[in-house]
Amino acid sequence: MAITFSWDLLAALIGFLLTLMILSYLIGDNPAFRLAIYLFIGVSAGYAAAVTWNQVLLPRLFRPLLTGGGNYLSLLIPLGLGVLLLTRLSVRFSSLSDLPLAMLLGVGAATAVGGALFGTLFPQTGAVLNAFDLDSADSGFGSWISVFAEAFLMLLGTVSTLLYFQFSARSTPSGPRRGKIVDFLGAIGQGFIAITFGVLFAGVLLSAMTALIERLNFIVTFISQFL
Amino acid sequence: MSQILCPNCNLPNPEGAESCLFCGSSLKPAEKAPDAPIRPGQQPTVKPTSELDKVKTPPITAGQTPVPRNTDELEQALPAWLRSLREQGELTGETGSTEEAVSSGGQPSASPSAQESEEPLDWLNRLSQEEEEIPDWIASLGGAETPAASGTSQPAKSAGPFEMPEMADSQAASSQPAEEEALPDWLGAFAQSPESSEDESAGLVSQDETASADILPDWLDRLTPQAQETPAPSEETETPDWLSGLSLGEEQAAPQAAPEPDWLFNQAAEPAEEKPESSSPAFTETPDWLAALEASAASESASEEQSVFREDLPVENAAPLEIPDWLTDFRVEEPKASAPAQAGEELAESLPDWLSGVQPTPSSSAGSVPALIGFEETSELTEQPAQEKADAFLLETPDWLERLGPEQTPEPVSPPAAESQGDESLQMAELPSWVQAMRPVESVISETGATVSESEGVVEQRGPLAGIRGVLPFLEIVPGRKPPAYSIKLQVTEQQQKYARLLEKLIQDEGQPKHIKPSVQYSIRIWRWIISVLLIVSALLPLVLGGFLSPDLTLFPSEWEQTHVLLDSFPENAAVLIVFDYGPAFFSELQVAAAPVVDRLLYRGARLALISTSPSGPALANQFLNSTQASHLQVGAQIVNLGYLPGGSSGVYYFASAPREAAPVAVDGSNPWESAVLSDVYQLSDFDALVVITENADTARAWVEQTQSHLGDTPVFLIVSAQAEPMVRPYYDSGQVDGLVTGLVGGKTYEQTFGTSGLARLYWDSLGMGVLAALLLILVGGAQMAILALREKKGGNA
Repeated sequence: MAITFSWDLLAALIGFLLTLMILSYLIGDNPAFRLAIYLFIGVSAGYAAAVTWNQVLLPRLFRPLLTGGGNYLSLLIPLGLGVLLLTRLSVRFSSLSDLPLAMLLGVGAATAVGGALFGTLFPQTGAVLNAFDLDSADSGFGSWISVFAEAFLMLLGTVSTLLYFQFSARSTPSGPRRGKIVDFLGAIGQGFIAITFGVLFAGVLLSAMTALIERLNFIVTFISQFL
Repeated sequence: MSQILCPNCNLPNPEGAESCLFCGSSLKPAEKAPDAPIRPGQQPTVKPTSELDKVKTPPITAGQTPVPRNTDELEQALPAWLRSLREQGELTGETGSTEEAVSSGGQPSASPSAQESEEPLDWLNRLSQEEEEIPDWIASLGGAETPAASGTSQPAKSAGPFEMPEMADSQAASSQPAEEEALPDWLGAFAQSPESSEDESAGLVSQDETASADILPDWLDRLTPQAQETPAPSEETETPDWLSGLSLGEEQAAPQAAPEPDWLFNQAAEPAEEKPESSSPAFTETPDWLAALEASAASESASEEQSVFREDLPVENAAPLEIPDWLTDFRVEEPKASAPAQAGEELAESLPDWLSGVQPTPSSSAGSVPALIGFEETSELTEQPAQEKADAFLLETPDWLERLGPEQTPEPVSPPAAESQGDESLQMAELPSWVQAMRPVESVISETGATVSESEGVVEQRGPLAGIRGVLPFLEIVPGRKPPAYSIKLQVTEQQQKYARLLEKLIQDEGQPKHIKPSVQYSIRIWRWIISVLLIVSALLPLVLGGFLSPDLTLFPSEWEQTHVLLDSFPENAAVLIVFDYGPAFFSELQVAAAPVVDRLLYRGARLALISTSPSGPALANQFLNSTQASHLQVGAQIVNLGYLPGGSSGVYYFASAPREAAPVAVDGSNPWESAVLSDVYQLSDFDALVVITENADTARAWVEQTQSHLGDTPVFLIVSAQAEPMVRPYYDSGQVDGLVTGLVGGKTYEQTFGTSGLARLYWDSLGMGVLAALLLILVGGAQMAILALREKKGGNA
């Protein structure tokens, strides 16, 4: 079978080799595995830097400043803050980077808090309350029981999981101990947590298996090209 | 004789003395009346406190040359003792002994009057100047100064106690030649004896002082040599009669006898009476006092003698001695057949007054030992021969005492005889053995009896002074009792040793490492290989073999129906925003999951805008489209890649609020918002759907949270990995997310729904086999661990 050289073939060959290098971890840590890891990290970092420059800094900051197009004067502020952020590398002038860092932290915290409140906490709380809405269920006692049970189970799981992480206790002669109700619900929550961890493990296993299958398929396909 | 007490040292001084003989302080009353005590409110008067203040001359200052002045006026400022020293020094300088006089620490002046005014430090020196009679033997002990010899030297050589030896030497030297002729050998030797012995003798016979007569006690005054009154003429020392009798040559002039005390007179009389009683004819020529000694030495009242006196010692030379009267009383009387009480009475009569007051304590009961052994008649003491007693306690006896030979001593009275005599007042006590053992006299005498030499002193046989002659005997107070010897070894009982061994064993056990039972260690690498092989084989076999080993899905996920319906409800040419926020590692899974959905959207003619908050997102998006949609993909007409969106959640919020400003440029550099794909999209809600493809639950949550308020009615689809699905499902259940596709299962589901065949079907068999293998491994491993745990539990309980 004649093999024509192409960049795709080269890329496939490199991929094949890198795949084998990663799979060599089965026999233990070895230089091939480390090489593959270092290449992946390096390429990722380089690609990220290239993307950041080509798609963010150059078209959105320097080109408008150099060409003067648009409201370029307003771009001096992010430019100045960026330069101040670079002073973090200097021990003498590191204090100047406190301003841009403060802005980043403040904006990020505000975004996260606002999103968590209005995007997760309130809707999720409302959803729990709405779960007990029997009107949403189909008509019939069975459906009501089903809906109520499902909602109660969900509520029980939520509350018990939260109580499991309550570690405040009273001091007793036999030592610090939590209340009996809290202790009981915490045990139930521990069960829900264990089930959750199991589900998470299953999902990870599926993801890993899918990745393995894809790589094995690649290897088989690559090898089959030469057979 | 009246005396004046010194106000400083409180010692008696003669009446006419101006300064104290001992300390030199002035005895004159203060010239000034004592100052009246100051009263409250009065101001104290300043008084000169220094005698130098009387001298009205300013003190010399620095830089000034001292001016010679007449220091006579300063003499008054000197203390009296210092003045006397200076005067004496001037006087002694003539005779060549100025240094000695000065170093002696203040000697009285040369003249008698000066001597009277200046107090010699040694009151004994005045003894020589006393006009009162002193016994000759005492005077002779002082060196027997000749009046001529001592006259010239006395004033200048009046010495204190420190200078007595020198003066005694000088005096003895001057009078020695004459004395040697008059004094017996022993006395001459005594006079020429070393300074240490002459110290005492010189002190006794110092003839310099003239005013000492008033200071000395009466009894001692009488003993002082007569020569103390006048320097030259009064220094004639008179040897006592008894001593003169001993001398080979001429006797010296008998000193003027001082009036003897009464007790001395009595003693002189009694021995004179007792003289005829002395049996020894050898003592006919002896002095009365000595004769009395001989007589009393032979009696049973040997206990009356003090142990230090040997009254019964033999005398080498039978030359008669003149015993002074006072000494005669201490002689041991001849043993008599009479009761010891009679002897005691006789002895008591001979005792001086001051000594006669000491009454012997009668023995109260048998076995008790009287306290005062020396004056009691005890059977034990009487047992001892007087010879032994004397030998025991007399170190160096003079010859005159030694001449009191043993033949003159009375025979000791045996205890039974003593007891049989039956003293009415004193009963012989029967002492217990332990008391007898404690009695020092008996033990010493009995022990030293063998070593007593008549001509030599006692030779000690025991103790640290063994072999030395003439020492005090070794008194074994508690014979036979030695101090308990304590061993330096630690005394430990058997039980304590047992406990110590137990403790030592416990400590040793702690230091020794415990032997750990080796347990079977399974290599983790082997198990890793086994598991890996199983999984790889299970996943590879379907790929290699091909075909379809697993049936299609019959049970779809719960979110499938809603998602499927919603995807089919999009209008044609709908603008869909697809977010590619996953990493390269999850490309395979998400490719399988998103391929059917994107394919369906493209099939329905949707316009796709791609964006990513990850730098590698745009590249992965292109790869995804090229690998799955290449057959019907028309890039540029239906798809625009907005590129990388920086800022994370803030960038998402920025894009959600102003998408044209947040992503002004596409990946190729063109303006995407002017293209046909996004020309009618100005805000996020203008999109017909939002599809987020991610493997991270946080990224999905961030897109849901930040775009929720800007989407409006735009549905949101989440295509997530299987590992993020549990964390993202609540958003679907809460209604925040309208569609959910999960991993390979979701892709398979939608492939099966849409009737397509893609990677999901290819990977489906391998996934099944692999999951099955993993399931089996989990079950086997869990069972094994459960069995091992049960075994350990049973072993622990057992």
